[in-house]
Amino acid sequence: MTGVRFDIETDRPLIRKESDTRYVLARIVAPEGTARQRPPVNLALVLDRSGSMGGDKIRLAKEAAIAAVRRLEPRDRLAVVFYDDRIDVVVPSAPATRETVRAAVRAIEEVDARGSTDLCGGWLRACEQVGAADASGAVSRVILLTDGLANVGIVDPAQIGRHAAELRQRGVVTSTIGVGDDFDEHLLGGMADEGGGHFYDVARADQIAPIIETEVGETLEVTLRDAWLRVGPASLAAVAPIAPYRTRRDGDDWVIDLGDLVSLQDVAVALRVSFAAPTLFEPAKPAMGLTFVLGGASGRQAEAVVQWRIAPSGEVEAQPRNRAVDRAVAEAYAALARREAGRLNREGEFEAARLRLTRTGARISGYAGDDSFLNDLARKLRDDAAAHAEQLTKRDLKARYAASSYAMYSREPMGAARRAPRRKDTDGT
Amino acid sequence: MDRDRAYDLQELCTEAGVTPRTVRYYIQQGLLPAPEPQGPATRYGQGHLDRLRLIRDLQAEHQPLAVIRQRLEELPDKDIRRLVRKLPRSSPSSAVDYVRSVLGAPQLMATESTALYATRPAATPVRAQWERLSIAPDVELHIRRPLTREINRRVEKLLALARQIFEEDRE
Repeated sequence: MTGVRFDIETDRPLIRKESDTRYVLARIVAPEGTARQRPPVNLALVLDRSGSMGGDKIRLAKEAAIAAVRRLEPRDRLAVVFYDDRIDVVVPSAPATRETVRAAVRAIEEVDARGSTDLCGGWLRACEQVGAADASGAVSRVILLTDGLANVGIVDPAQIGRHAAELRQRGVVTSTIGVGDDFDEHLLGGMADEGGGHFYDVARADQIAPIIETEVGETLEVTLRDAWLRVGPASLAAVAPIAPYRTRRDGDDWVIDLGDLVSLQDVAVALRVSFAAPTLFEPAKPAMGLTFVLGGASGRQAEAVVQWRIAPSGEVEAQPRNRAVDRAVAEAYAALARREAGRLNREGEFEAARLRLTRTGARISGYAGDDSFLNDLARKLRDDAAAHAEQLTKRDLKARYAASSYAMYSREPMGAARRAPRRKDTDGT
Repeated sequence: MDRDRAYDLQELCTEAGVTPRTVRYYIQQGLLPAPEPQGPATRYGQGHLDRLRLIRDLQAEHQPLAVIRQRLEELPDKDIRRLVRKLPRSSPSSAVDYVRSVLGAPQLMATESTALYATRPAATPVRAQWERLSIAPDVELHIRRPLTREINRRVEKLLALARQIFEEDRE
């Protein structure tokens, strides 16, 4: 297994003596692994079989689920839950032996579409199955597939999001797949944000199989489980990712949870660093330094330090900018603005949606200079702002939500993890 | 077992899953006693490790550092040792307990803010729900939730027993 790659860059190396804000880009490439070395997987599939899933959708979802189940090995665990207004734990969590897989396939084949949707109940039962399995060290994942809203049982998206966060803290990660035009992208996207997994938008039923294959495949390729980024001293600067990664303070560090990373996954995390103003009695410092540590469930992997020199205002104003960092930061802010604007548009707040995008575009123009990438991005945001001034179609809202979601988590246009090319050199051997 | 075990800073950090900076910060904040002697030969004891673990567990319960410090100040090393053992690893309750506490509780009625997402009338009464658990390919158990804690316990027992019986059969 080749090691992790970890680089940290800042947009500008000089800061003012008074408080100042800088941006940092952390580039991470997860270690390369092989199928033989992978940790076991503790998987639950949660499939919506409400009436609206009838026809192609349920048929293709079942086929994809069967294909996924067949990829597991006896050291993995598997559970399958179907729900409408009733929840059927058709395969309670068990090691994926030949018998379990055979029983699971038969159970999945028998399911028909009918009824309304207790999305939260079905998902929670699956979390219970994954949680009940004694599988420490495994990649625990619940994958929920639905084409609809939560309309029975717990239906409040904020409440469901809180449950996802609580369950993630207890070791159960949730990924969500929305199919068609009628699901709530903010509910499913929020569950994945809070649940530490991934959200996928599936426009057509024939895309169900490749997406389930992507998500299940990724659980089988994790090489850095529960990855985290630890930045400190926290007392020197407030550090926050420009994406919905869970961030907490631990002692004098900020800890940002990045979730499970798969073999060669290439992740860019843009961070905002706000230095605290020095107190009156503090001796003047020549520089401020932050340490960035990358780690995972197996401990620390790599470390990098960034130093900012304190300089007079004139020198700070005149310093060159690192455009690679500027671009990543601008893209991160654009993704957040687009997601928020989509929510506002969905709720009929057209003017607020337009303003949200216009403001972010103007801010990017403010530091774009003659950089064509940044000027292009600012222009696209202005176009988006115009589009959001009236009601977007349900499909358009979902496609836009998914695009911004994939961008903020460094994922490919169809939602799969972005991978770095394999390294040709064989260092360390 | 190894009560007099001494750790250098790196070993202590590895054991407790924290960084050296966190250790220094806790010492500065009075959460950990200062080690002796100071300098490169500094050694930390089992007491330091236990305290670090207890701090982590208490933080997982979202207790602020000031409250944690107050609790730690009152406790001698041997009580801290006992407490670390008593607290469950990782989080305050397991995923299973959490799910059961959510689903076991009477389900919330849709409120005004949720009505937007609900296609049913907002005043849906609290409803019981049938759950189907498959025990073997052709055998199922039907349960109407929510169940009382006692019945739930018995159901668990029944399931464990049932699975045992069917596993036997398969071999």
